[in-house]
Amino acid sequence: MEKILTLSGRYSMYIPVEKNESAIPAGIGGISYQRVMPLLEKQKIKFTEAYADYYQVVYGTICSKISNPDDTDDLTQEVFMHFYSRMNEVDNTRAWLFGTINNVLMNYYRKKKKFSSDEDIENYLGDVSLTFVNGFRDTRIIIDEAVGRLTEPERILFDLVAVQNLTYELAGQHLGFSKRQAEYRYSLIVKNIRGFLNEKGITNIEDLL
Amino acid sequence: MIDEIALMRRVFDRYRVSSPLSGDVQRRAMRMKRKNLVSVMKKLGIYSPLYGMILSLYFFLKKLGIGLSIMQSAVLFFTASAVVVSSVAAGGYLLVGNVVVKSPSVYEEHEKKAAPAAEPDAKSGDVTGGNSSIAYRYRLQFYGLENNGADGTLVAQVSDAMRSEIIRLKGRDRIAVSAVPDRAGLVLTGSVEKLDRQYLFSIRLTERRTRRIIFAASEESATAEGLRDLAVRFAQSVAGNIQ
Repeated sequence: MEKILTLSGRYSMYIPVEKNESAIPAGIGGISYQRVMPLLEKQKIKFTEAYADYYQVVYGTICSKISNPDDTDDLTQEVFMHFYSRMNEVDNTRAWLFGTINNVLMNYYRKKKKFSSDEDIENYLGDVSLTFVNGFRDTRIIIDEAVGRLTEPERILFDLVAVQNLTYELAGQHLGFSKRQAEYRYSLIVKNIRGFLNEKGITNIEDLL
Repeated sequence: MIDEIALMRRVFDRYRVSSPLSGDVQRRAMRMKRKNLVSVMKKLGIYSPLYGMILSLYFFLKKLGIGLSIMQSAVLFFTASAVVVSSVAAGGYLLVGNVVVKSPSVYEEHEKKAAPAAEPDAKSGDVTGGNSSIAYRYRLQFYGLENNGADGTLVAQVSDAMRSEIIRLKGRDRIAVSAVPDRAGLVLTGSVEKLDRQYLFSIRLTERRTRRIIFAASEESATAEGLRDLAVRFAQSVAGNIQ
């Protein structure tokens, strides 16, 4: 498995999730997958599904850094336009998108001239956990490892619920789940992370608080 | 489990894993999701209205908590479209069929515009006419009674008496009686037959389009005067049956 560095400096493991084409029904009312397929471009479909999966993650990440909704729309579009042009070369969509978000934000701040140097911009965009010391930093690294063990769909749900604080309902609407499904899946994610922390010797979560 | 989720949330907050977005931003992101995608695709030149419709369905289903892929949404979209088109076509066909059956034929419409109005004092066999600009409610074709062995003058008088009485009863401005064949929706035919010393007087009112007999009667009379009375009575019955 590949380890990648995200914008926030967190390490995560990417487990590629292949779409199961055989799960697509043979057809409804005589209109089959084979008949519809030539009408649509594979590239376009791949792009749309990546957009649907990552849009909120990208949008939320950018918005948390610039706090300007109009500029967030523009920058989100810019990230996905870059993604489309390089889609065939991208192995790890998450890593690529976060790398591009970083570059897009760097350019944005350069144009705005809000910071005196690129180093200041990097410091601003950098991971807050790097400022932690001693036990705090170690615990944060363990949490990041635990999150990194999640599958990509789980990771996206985690980003929406735990990181961006979306309600189960809204997270479900982004990902095509019902509220109950989103809640159930998130509870499994929490259980998974808790299990990893247990493995690392953190048996009482309250000790972390 | 709920406690555990709440506990973990506190851990994520404390270790700055979370970076919460305000409710407004969350809602705006949701609202702009499809719009931004369409905008990106237009800029890339890969957008088409057909794909836009599939996207609408795809995002709509996601909002409902139904996570179909684009391909599945496309299959669903084409299926739904086929069903809708078939339904509209079938509905349209039935509707048009109904309208064609109910509405008068083009020929009848033409007749209504072109047929002359009846003149109450027209002689039997003539084309009785009137002001063509009047929109008559009823149009009746009546050539006159057929004469089978009776006095011709008497039959003509009886025919005229019938025509006059019908026009009087239905109203001069409401009915046109014409002798021209195929000029009206209703056809009145009849005959006076001389049998020994008796007259046999028969009439029949029919609807031209359906050939349905609306009214028919046949009576005998021994005198010419009786025949004229019968003409008036038959005319009253005919007028009563013209609705």
